[in-house]
Amino acid sequence: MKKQLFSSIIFSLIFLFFTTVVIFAQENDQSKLERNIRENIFTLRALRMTQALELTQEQTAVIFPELSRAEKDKAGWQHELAEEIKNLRQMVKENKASAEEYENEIAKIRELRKKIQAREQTFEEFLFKQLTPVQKAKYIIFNLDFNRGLMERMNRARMLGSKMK
Amino acid sequence: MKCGKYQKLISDWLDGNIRGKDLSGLEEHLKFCKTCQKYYNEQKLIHQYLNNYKENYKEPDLGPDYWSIFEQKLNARLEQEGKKPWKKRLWSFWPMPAWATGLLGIMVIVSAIYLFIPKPVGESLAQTPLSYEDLYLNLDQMMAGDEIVAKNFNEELIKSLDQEIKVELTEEVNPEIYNFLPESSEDNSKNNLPSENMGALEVQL
Repeated sequence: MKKQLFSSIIFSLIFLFFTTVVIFAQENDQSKLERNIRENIFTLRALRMTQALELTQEQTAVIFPELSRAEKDKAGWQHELAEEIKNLRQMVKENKASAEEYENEIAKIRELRKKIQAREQTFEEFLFKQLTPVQKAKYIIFNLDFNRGLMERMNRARMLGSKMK
Repeated sequence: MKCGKYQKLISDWLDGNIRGKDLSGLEEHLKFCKTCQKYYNEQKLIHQYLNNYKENYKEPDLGPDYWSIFEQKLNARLEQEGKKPWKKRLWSFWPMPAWATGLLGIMVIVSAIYLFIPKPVGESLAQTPLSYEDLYLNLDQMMAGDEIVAKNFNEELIKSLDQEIKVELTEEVNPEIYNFLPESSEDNSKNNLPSENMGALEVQL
């Protein structure tokens, strides 16, 4: 009897271990994918921006290090923001959180959004100091076109996804 | 006594309102003070001119009915004023305070608008629909919980990057950038993509 109990505990523990590992691995895959997507968008954006704005070598030498720094900051905050939004969705779904808990979560999200916007603005101010008026104009158009391009890619991805399902 | 005080006495003297010590003092002063003599002569001239004007003034002929018509008009106006609401009468009595209050009110409203309406902190693309980060947040939310969509989207991105690399980042077209690309990157080695540090490294070009 004791032997049976012991073996069942061992079996349960092993099962628990593997389940945890699989869940962790899946989550890790998801966040790795998320990171790759962000990195790929960044690379594509940097390449396209160089072409669209016809940046000179001197300009890229000044702009790109700052672009990379801004990207690192913003990517970290965007990741945190996604986590907080996930928590918020969960809170709304469960409908058990107190008013104070909601307020705290909202405050965190607002704070992160402010940080991201402020960083984006700081970079933009820096960028505009390096660009000629024509390049500034091209940057505005580039932003619109690039964002639209991303949305189109996303729509294609969703259509493909729905076909696969 | 100083000249200023004697000059005040000069006006009284010309009006005939000065006697005794004041008069004798003034006369003594005028004997040697040229400034006061000049002032006295000027005042005397003005005094004479005004006296002449008074003597030659004739009242205009307003006609026999002028005053009766004036009285009628005045009574009608008073009656009309009496019918006005008290607020209107109040303002008509004090037009200046009314204007002042109005202006003050406008100033208070303008100041309140200026002070209390939140102003955007520096207009920038980051706060407009052009913001890339806002778009990214939307994309991220679309991908969250749908791994297939996320993978498809990433493949779309990789396709675009591949094209970009084939066109722009070949050794022939752009040898500097091509040579700078990392040969193997943990995440992007399969796709031969430039790494996140591309920008920083491009500085070396």
